[in-house]
Amino acid sequence: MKSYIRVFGIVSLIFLCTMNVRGETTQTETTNYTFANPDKPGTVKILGSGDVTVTGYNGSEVVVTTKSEGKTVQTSENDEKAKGLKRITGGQFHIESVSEDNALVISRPLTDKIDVNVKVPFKTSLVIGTGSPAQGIGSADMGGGKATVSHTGVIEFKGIPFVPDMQIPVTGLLEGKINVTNISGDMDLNTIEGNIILTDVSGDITAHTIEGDMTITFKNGGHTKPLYFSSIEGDIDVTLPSGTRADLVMKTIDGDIYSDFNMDFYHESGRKEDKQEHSTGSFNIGFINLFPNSVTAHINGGGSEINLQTIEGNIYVRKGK
Amino acid sequence: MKCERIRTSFPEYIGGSLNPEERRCIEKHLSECEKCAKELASMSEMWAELGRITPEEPSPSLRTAFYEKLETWRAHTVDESLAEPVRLKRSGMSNPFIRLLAVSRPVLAAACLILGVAAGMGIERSATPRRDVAELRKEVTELHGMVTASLLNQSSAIERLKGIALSRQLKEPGDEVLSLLLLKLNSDSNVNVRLAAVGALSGMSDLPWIRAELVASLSRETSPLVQIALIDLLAGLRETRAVEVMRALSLDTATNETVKKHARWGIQQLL
Repeated sequence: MKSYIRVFGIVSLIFLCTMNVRGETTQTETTNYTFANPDKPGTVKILGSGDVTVTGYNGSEVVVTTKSEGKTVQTSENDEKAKGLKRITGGQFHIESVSEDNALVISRPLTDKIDVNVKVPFKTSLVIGTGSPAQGIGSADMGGGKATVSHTGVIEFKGIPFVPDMQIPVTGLLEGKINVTNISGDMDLNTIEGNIILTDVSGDITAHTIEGDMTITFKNGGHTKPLYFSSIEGDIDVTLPSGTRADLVMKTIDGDIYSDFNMDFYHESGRKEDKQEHSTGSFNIGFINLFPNSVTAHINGGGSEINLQTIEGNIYVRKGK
Repeated sequence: MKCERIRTSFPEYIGGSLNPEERRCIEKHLSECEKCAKELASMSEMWAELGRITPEEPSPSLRTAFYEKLETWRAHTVDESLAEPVRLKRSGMSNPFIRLLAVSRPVLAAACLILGVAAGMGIERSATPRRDVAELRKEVTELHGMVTASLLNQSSAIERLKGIALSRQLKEPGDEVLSLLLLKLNSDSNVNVRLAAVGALSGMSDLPWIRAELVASLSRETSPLVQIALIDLLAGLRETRAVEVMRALSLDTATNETVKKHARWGIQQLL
């Protein structure tokens, strides 16, 4: 039972119709929005296809600029026939404020590529794209109950012991690059094809890309929750402040792992209590071996977990300032 | 030995009820002792999680069950002038989590609510009032399990990852936590959450039914990262039932090339 409130704020439209070499037009449009409760840190969710650039700034509004090749971005808000009606769902470009979550949801078509450039207050949390489902369309039997993935992109749980019956939508895959700068909120980032570049970030983060590289530069350490960065085909390059206390869990199948941090390796068999401390000055891959090509190490005495996993790429953990 | 003594004051330290001198003494120790600093961080974290849990709407049957429990509790404490947690505190209880519970009443209320919710959800538990430390400790473990379960049900992927991290600290995760971890592994849309679930389940895979579920998960999984994590785990466990699934993966044209190689490696380990 979501009640959608109309986004209020100043709406300024700037049309910049420019011709590029191939004679196609690039349409750019900028609109300002405010969160339902601007005094609290909000969340920006971005779904659909196209590149995403998010930059933190010292302000309270969310400034969204869209860029698309060829034609004007069709928003559902400027549909005359829909006046007085509430939008239920759809595939057009759409921005909506969800007051319960203090969130601004930017939905883009999955077929047309629309790039968005968003300026947000520093503390904003981000949810960009959603992950890929564990399984194709089908169902799984679990303890007498069933989890079903429907063709409409909804997972339904029914009759599973200890789990309430529920339906969770899983649509909204994102294809495109993700570029985030200067944000201290939490982030849940997912893309299919595209690099993820995070610069001067400091929140709790989970990020996954299938075909791209990942480059993350942290502004400061001190995370309270585990951080997860994973890629199938790309490199993972992380720069942590030199004093960061963390437990690093690193795994690559075909690649190498590099670092200039002094690491204390330990054996991770899944549970904290089973940790056995090893201290070695040199970085010696493959000496821990329940699993191949996987190492776990404390830096600066250990702390919150940072997980770095890739299949085909390399992992770089660099000492920052 | 000093660490032990310092740790017994953590609950009051977090609650802010120490005098400045005691506070300084603890802070001095924390700056020198990493282990204690870590312990305090983990306790504060758990504390904060407890505060963040959104209360569930109790159903009518839960309400009845809760009041029945409350009555049983009352019947056994009526002859004592002190509430049980306070009595335990005076007798020099050393488990910091239990002492944390003893510090403030709102927490006890929160704990009762959570335990009540659990009772309503049909989790099997003893109806007799807890008397000794071992049972209280068990209760705290259950509470930890419930915090974990609550986090695993959150809509934010970051909170679910946190729940999985907490589940790994459970010495004996209950069926609820295990079922939720398997559910995350089988159906969570976030690849990193599924990867983390494999990691957590690897520490709990001594149970035969968990192993069977892991084999089934491998046959359904679509992300190469999670497939490889499962192959590594099952090969490490010497779970021969996984051979057929690995063979099917290595022959499927849709499988990622590295995963195919890895599946063949896994089969070699198991044969």
